[in-house]
Amino acid sequence: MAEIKSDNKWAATQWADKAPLFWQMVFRVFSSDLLLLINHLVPFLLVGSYNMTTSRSRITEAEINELISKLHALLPEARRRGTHRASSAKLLKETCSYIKSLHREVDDLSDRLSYLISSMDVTTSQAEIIRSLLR
Amino acid sequence: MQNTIPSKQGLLKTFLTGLRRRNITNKGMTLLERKRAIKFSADLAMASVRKEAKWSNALMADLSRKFQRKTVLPSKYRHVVSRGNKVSKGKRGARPRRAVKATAIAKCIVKKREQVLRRLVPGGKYMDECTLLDETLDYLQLLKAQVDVMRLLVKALE
Repeated sequence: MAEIKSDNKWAATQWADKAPLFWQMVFRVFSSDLLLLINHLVPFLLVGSYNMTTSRSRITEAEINELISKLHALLPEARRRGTHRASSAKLLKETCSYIKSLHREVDDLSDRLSYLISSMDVTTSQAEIIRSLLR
Repeated sequence: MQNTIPSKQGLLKTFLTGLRRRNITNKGMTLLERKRAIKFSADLAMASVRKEAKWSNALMADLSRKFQRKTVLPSKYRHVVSRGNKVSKGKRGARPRRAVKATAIAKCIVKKREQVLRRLVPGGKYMDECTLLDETLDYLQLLKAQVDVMRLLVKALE
């Protein structure tokens, strides 16, 4: 099996010798740059199902409280006025709605960016800089 | 156990490199194509800042699938693929009512909201509750940073 590894540029990745033979042959046949993206994934793929069943350790109360307080710190500060109003249902709801609003904002911003880049004919100094960055 | 605050300059740099690679100043692209390219590069930049996180790997998997689909499948076949992904819901039979307790209701609500969160965070389907909370924290940090970077870019161009 040495010749499979030698003429394959993916042998340089750190898990190439741990990967089963099947993956080595896949990389040999489909060697494209797309696999650079997948390179990050293989540890996750190999242990993905492992996580669900084996890491059922007892989560202590303290850890949960710490996570809850951190999550509160990240959310926009409109709610908390000093009193400890951390019910987990409310927390999850606020987190979900915040993530949704951030997704919507990314969508809206990328719309505007797309329009601005297409109509970037104004010759301000900043537009010139950004245009040169994007070429 | 959490990591450092994401640096906006690194994010901006990766974002702009990705945009340049996709050649978005080309006048030949439609608005929609350009928007998709921008979103793609933004997600890629976000995921590449945190390579060890689970949501980051799941996001990269999703992006690589989209990337392949863009180059391999012509658009007329896309509806076939998306239809295959829909799961048919079974008929809901009537269940006998039980005495409702406050704690049971609370648990039910928390479970429902946790499912919504799993859908929102990339890769959330495969995590247990504790990792889900951790990954949500991390994902939120990076999402905020990404929004800030994009706002900066929009402000600079206006």
